Amino acid sequence: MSSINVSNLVVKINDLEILHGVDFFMPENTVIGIVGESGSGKTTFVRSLMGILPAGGAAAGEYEIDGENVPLPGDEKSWGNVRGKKLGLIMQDPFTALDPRTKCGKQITAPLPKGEADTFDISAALSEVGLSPDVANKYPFELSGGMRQRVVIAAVLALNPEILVADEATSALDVIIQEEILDLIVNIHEKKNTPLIIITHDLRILSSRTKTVLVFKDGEIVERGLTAEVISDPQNPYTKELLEAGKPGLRDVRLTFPNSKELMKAEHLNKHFGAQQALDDVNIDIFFDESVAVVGESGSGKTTLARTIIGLEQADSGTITFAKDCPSSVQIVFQDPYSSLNPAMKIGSILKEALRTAGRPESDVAELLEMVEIPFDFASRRPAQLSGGQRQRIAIARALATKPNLLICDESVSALDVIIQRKIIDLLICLREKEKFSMLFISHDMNVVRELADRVYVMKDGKVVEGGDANDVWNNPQNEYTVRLLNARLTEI
Amino acid sequence: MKKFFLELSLGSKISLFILVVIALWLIFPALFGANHIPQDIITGVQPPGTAGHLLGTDSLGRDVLKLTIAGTRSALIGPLVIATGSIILGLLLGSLAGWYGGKVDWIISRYADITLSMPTLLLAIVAAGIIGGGYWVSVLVMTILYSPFDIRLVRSAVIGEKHKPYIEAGLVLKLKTIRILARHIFPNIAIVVMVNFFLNIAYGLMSMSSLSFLGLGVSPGSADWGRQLADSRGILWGNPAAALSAGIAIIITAVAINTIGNNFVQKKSL
Amino acid sequence: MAAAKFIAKRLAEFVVSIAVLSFVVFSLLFLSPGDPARVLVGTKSVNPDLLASIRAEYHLDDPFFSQYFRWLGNALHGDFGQSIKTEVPVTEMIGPYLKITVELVLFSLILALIIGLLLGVIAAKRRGTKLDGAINAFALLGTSAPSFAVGLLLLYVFAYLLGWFPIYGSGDGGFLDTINHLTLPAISLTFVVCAMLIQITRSSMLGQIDKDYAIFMQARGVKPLRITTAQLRNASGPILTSIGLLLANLFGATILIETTFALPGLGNLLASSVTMKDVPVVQFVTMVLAVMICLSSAVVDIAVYFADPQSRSFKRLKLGAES
Repeated sequence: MSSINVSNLVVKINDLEILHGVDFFMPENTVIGIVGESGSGKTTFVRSLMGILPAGGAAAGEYEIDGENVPLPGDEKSWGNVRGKKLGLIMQDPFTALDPRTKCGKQITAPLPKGEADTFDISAALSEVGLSPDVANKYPFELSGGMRQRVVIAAVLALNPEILVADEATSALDVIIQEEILDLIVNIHEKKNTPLIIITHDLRILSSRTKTVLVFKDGEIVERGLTAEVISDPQNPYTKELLEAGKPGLRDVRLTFPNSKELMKAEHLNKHFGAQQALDDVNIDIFFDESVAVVGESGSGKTTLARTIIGLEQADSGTITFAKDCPSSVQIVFQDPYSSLNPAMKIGSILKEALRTAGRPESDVAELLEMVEIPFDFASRRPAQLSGGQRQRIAIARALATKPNLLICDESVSALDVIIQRKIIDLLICLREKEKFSMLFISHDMNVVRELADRVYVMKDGKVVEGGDANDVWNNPQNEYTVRLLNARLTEI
Repeated sequence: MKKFFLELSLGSKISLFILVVIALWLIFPALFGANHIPQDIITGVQPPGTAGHLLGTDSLGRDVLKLTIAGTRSALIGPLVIATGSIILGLLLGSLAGWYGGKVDWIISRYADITLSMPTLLLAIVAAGIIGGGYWVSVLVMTILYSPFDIRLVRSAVIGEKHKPYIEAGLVLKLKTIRILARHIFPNIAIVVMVNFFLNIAYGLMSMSSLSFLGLGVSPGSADWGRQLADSRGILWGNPAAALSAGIAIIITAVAINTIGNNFVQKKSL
Repeated sequence: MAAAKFIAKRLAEFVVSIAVLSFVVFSLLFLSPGDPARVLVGTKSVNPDLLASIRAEYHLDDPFFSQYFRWLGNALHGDFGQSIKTEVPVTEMIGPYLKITVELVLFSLILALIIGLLLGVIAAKRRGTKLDGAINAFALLGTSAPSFAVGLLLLYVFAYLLGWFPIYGSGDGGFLDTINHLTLPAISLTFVVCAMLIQITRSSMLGQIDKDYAIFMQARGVKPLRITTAQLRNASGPILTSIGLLLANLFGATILIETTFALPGLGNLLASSVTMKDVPVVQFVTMVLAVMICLSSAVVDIAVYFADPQSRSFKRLKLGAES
């Protein structure tokens, strides 16, 4: 039975103030959600509660656990009782949170004193998180992401922490695994009466799993309250915007006009990478002015499919044909806005280069920038001076410079914060209306797909397992895998 | 340019100043009266501080300061040629291997593996000593044996960039290969290549002066830092400055070059 | 299977390197200006009969490649010919030289490993502090100073000015006397080679400092020393690789240091034989040094391979995210 009481917490990292006086009270046995976009200070907040700030970081303020004062900034000795024992932190990325060169069993017992480590029942700890005892003798690279996250949780539980903190603990995992891990964490909370802090950017997790919520923005808490109330009636304008952006849009009006003319047809595509079959007899087609989505988890082959259509990969067998009377102009917008633009070139030069390849005058740069709602003076800036969302707009402008018939968006919004994501989706919808191009949208996010797609293909293990009208797939999925995919994401706000 | 200079650390500013002085020594030795150094065998060794000879004279009665200034040329021309030659080889072979991959990559990479496993200094010493005509033979040997570092560096930098989305976007726009390499890849790997260029000059300086210290490459008595060190070893007691000034010249120059090189590394990581 | 394949590949590389080297080394005789026979005569007075007998003895009129393969065949049986100067078979004369070089190199290697790893780890842990700055400056100086210049400076200060150490030679063979004579040379060597180790240790440790696993360990209250050990283990790849390079540098620098301190080691023998154009000695010493350099780098590469559990395992699972 534990509680946390923090007042006026200020955190600086190298003289830059990250948190500007946060007050926080955590009652016993509750589940608190913390939301906010990246850079809002939510991770810094929980890390400052454990004294694990990066070099140059310093915290100040009043801090109590169970009525006991924890000195800030504190030293190795004073944190000794807090780290792991009072607060247990489940990290975000299971692929990096474990030491690659130490077997899992040893990692779990690493913080225990020598005698305790020898008698610690690793098998029991592993079975508690749903793993078999032989995992103890495995290295992390021998395990899947979900299994690794279970090892991380077992490592946290080994110290019997009084409070659990899950910092984006599922966002690096595939949707179906996400649900399993969340269930595991919440079960532990219920079984042991351990208070739980869930940090997330995902409003669906927030609404389905937490009782109270804190909204972080720019190092401050801008809103707090019962989750249900905050969601139904947000007071702060930022919270409103955040919630608005996270709601799946309802596409009643279809942009597409039933057009029977086929733009592209891919037949019997096969592609191997070593022993792995990335594409297994894939057939898809795209019509003029149509928006088609391909959904699936990582490893499903959806990205390979996109890259094959655009010619960045060669299929082992199969054919891709474009409509005869149209030049096969295809362009692509990639996932990562940070590496999509050449860091050494100015925005203007990047767009001019694209315009030249299409035989358009360089003066059209102004038109392109206006199209993606970027001020003209950005032409003289370099990518490093732009935010992620702005870069993605430039990437869209570059792709549309050649007036393509087909625009492929490969997870183009998944690296962005939810509000930015919303704006880019709106931009794409609006551009498609104006410019009349077909779109192939690759995504793992059913809600994004729902908004953008007229037709959906669901991929798993290199195969198309289901395909059809977006509304039909959404309302009446035929394949069992599609059902699971939808269920994992369907918790409406 | 002014902003660039002001942003440099104190160490880099000092290094830049040293390199400017060294460059003047290299290009205009006459400015320092170092184009003609009279011998005075009868007087022979004089300690530092002797009238007219700030650092004294060596066993041939030559002014040590002027001798050191005159030695710059022989000490640095070779390293500059080595670094330039090796970077040209590196850019050429490295980008071929990195960009085209497959068989081209295999052949170039095996060539780099083999030359990389050769003991550079050892082969340069042996080749320069046995073949004779020392200086330029050792420059050639070292250029060839330094190049695998540049080849590997450029190759892995090109491979690292090749699969980045901005390059793939260029491919989708159907840009010409040469344009992608020149406009997109080279500017983004320029810094790593520059850093290695500076490193190569510094290593070249040390290796070439090692050779002349062993009496290879340059004839006895000629103005060259390594040679000067070797020639004046015997008079360490009479005029320590004769040997030490050459040694210190080598060390300071190499430190300055490495500092400037490191400056690029730090710029990159910002 | 993967491991066996890797070792086979690395050993094949070693053999090819040595083969190429042997070819270069053999060609030396023919690359030297003038008649190879005259080179082999050395300083003896030249007369046509002697030249003719040397041509016959060395089969100098045979085609180049058949000479090479004869030389290689002999070399593989331990026959590298005899020294032109002393007329003793080269393989018999290098024993004492080899002993000094190996002693010197091992002495410096141990010193360099201790100092390099320690300073590198400390610099990384204390990054941005004055101590880090001082260690960096020390390393910068080490990478910028040729061994012979350092040697001469140390010689001047500690042997001439202070008289703490002997000036020349390797001593009378007693253990303490050997140490006494080898200390300055070993310090010079250590200084120039440990700089690289410091830099590589520091930068690969820095790469591990902010890694999630280290933060996760810290968050569970794992002892700092244990975290550092884990980080060092994860940083060991580049560090081990650099030890191969460090050994190669040591063998190169020892040639200069032995000359500077007049130590009768392999390097000194090589340098003087090069000057005398005593080709068989040069060929043999070069091959000995080259084999040691190439072999140590092969051994290090194999060690790096086995230090990583991921490359050790048979099935390399690829479980990263697709995108």
